[in-house]
Amino acid sequence: MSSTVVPAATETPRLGEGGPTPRALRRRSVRHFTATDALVLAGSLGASASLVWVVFYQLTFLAGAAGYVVCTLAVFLAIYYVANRHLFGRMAAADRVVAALATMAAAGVVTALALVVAWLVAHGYHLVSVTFLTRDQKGVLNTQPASAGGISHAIVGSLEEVGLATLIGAPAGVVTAVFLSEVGGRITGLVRTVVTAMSGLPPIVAGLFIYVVLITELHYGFRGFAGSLALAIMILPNVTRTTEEVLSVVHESLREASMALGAPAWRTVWSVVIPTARTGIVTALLLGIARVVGEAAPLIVTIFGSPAMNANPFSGPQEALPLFVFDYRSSSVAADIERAFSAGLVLVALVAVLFLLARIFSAMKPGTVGRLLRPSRHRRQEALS
Amino acid sequence: MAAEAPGLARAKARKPARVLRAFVASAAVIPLVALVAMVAVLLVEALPAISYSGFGFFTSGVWDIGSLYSNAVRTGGVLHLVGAQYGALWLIVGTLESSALALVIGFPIAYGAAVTIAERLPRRLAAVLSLCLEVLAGIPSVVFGLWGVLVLGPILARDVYPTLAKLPDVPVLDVFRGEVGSGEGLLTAGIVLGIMIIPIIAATTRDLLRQVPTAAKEGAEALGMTKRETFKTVQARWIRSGVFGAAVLGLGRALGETIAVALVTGSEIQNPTNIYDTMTTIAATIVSQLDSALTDPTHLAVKSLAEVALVLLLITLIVNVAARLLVRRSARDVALPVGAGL
Repeated sequence: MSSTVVPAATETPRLGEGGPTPRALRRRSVRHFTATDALVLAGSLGASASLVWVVFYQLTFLAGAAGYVVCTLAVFLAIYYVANRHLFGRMAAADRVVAALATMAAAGVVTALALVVAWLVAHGYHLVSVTFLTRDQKGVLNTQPASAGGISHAIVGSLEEVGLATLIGAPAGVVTAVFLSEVGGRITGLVRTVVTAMSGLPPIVAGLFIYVVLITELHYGFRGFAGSLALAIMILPNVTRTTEEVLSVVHESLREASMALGAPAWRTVWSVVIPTARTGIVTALLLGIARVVGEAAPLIVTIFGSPAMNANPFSGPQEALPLFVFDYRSSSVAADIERAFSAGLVLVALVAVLFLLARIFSAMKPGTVGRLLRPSRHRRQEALS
Repeated sequence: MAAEAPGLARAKARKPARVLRAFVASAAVIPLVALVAMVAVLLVEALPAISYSGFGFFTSGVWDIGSLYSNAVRTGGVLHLVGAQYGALWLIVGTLESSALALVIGFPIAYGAAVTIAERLPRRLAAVLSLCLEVLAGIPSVVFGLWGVLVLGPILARDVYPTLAKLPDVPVLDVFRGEVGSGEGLLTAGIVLGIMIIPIIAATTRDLLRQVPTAAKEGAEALGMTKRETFKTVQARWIRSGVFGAAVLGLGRALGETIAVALVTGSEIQNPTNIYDTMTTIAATIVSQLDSALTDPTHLAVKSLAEVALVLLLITLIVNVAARLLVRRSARDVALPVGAGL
C-alpha cells in the first residue's frame, strides 16, 4: 500500500535540522510507489520463495505445491515486515504488511475461481459437441464411451423447470417488491422480515417441502413441475430483494413530478416508477434465475431424473443439468464421470450467459428495455414530439 | 348533480387504486403464506417422528431405519420398524462444525478481498474483482462438490494434511492430529464451504465499506494516519456490526449448503474422530438418506427427515434474520471515536 511514510514521532529528527535528511524520511506523495518499494517487494518475495524451497525440498521430506505456496507467503510476510521496518520504520511496515495481507486475500479469491473454472474446462471441454448437446442418454450403456449419448434431455429439462419456476416465482417477487417499496401497509415490516428469512432458505428444505406436499400427500408423482415449484420458492425472495433495491434508487423527484401532475399513486407506480426501473428489474430477474439454475438439491427430491428426453414437465420424471452432474458423478464408470464434467461445464456456461445478460441490462440506461420491446410505440411517441 | 360530481369523480378515481392496492398487498402475502406453509407442513409431517423419538432426537447419534425384514410395530401410536432409532445429534453437530470451519477459513479471505475492492484498487480493477465474486457466487454447488471431491480432497490428503498432522502437539495445533484419511471429511468440507461463502461475505462487506463517509476517512488521513491506522479507526469501527452480520449471513449459507457438502464429507453419520474424518450435515443427510428412507413401509424414516429439515429451517431462519438486522443496523447507529482517543 502506498502511504505517507513517517516513522513514529519519538524517533523522528526534525526535518532540516542537522545535516541532510535521511532518504527514508524525505517527503513523498501519498500514492507513490517508488523503486525502493518495488525492490523491497521483489526482494522479500524472492528471499521467501528460495528460503522455503531450501527448507521444503532440500532439507526435509515435506512436499506439495499447496504447502509450498502457503509457507512461502507466511515467510514473505515476515521478511517484508522486517525489511520495511528497517528501511521505513514501524508504522510503514505494519501498513504494508496489512496491505499485503488484503492483496493476498483478493488474489486468493481470484485463484480459487480460476482453479475451479480451469479444472472444469480442462476436464469437460473435449466432450462438448453438437451431438453431446442434441442427444439424450436413452439406451446408452455405461460400457459405451463417453461420446455416446448426450445431455439434451437435461438441458431441456433445466430450461423448462427454471422457466416455469420463473413464471411462478418472479411476478410474485416483483409485486412483493413493489408492495414493500411503493405501497406499504401494516404488514410491510413482517413481509420484509419473511422475505429476508427466506432468502437464506436451504435449497433442500424447499425441495423436501414440495416433496412432502406433492409427492407423499397428493401422490402427484415426480415431475418437472414439482421441481419448478421448489425452485419458485427459491427465486421469489431473491427477486424481491434485488427488485426492492432497484426500486428504491428511482429518484424521488420523478415520483413527485408525477404526483404534481395529478396522477394517483398507482398511476405513478405503473407509468413512472416501474418503467424507470425496468432495466434494473430485468437484471434482478436474471440474477434470480442464475442463482437457481445450478441448484440440484431441490430437484433431487422432486423430479427424480430420467435418462430419456421428456419435454413435458407435467408428466413423468424429468432430468436437469445439476441433477445429471450429481447422479453421473456418483457412478463408478470413468465415462459417466466424464459426462458429469461436460454437463457441469455446460451448466456453468449457462450461468455465465445469464450473468452476462444481467450485466448488459444493468449497464443500460433506464427505460431502454421498454423501447427494445415496443419499437413501434416508441416511434409513435417520437413522431408526436 | 353538481354537488355530487367531485365526490363521484373521486370515488371513480379511488376504485382502481383500491383494487390495485388490494391486489399488490395480497400478492405480497405470498412469501408469508409460503413460509408459514413450509413450517406447518414439515411440522405436521414430522409429528409422528417427534412423538416417536422425543427428546432423544437431539441427544442420540444413531440413525437407523430399523430392520426392513421385520413387521411394522406400533409404539405409542406410531408405526415403525423393529429397531428403528432416529437421533440427529451428529447431524446437528456436523452442520455446526463444518459451518464454523467454513467461517474461520472463508471470513478472513472475504474481508481482505472486500477491503481490497473498496479501498485499494482503482475503479476498473475493483469492478473486475467484483465480477469475480459474482461469478464465484454463480458457480453451482454441484460443481464445487465435484471439484472438492475429485481435485481438492485428494491433493489435500496427499500434500497438506500429512504435514498438518505432524505439527507440534501444543494446545491449539493439536486439533490437526490424527489419521488423515482420503480427503473426504470435515476439514475438506470446511474449506469448500469456506470458498463458497466468500462471495456473500465479501460483497456485503464491500457495500458496507462504500457507505463509510469520505469526510471521516479524509479527516483521519489529514491527521497523518497511515492507511492502516485510518482503516482501524474509521472504517473498521463504522462497519463493525455490519461485518458481524455479513459473517452470520455466510454462516447461514454454509448451514444450508447441501450438494457440495454431500459430496465432500463422505456422508457418514458419525461424530468425526478428528478434523479429517468423514461426517455429515443435516442437509446432506436429507439428500443421501431419502432413497433408503423411501424403502421404509411405515414412512417413519421420511417423517424423521422432515423433522430434521424443520430443525435446519428454524436454525437458518433465525440466523438469516439476525444477520440482516445486524447489516441494516450497522450504518445507522455508529459513533465515530471522536475525542475518544485511539
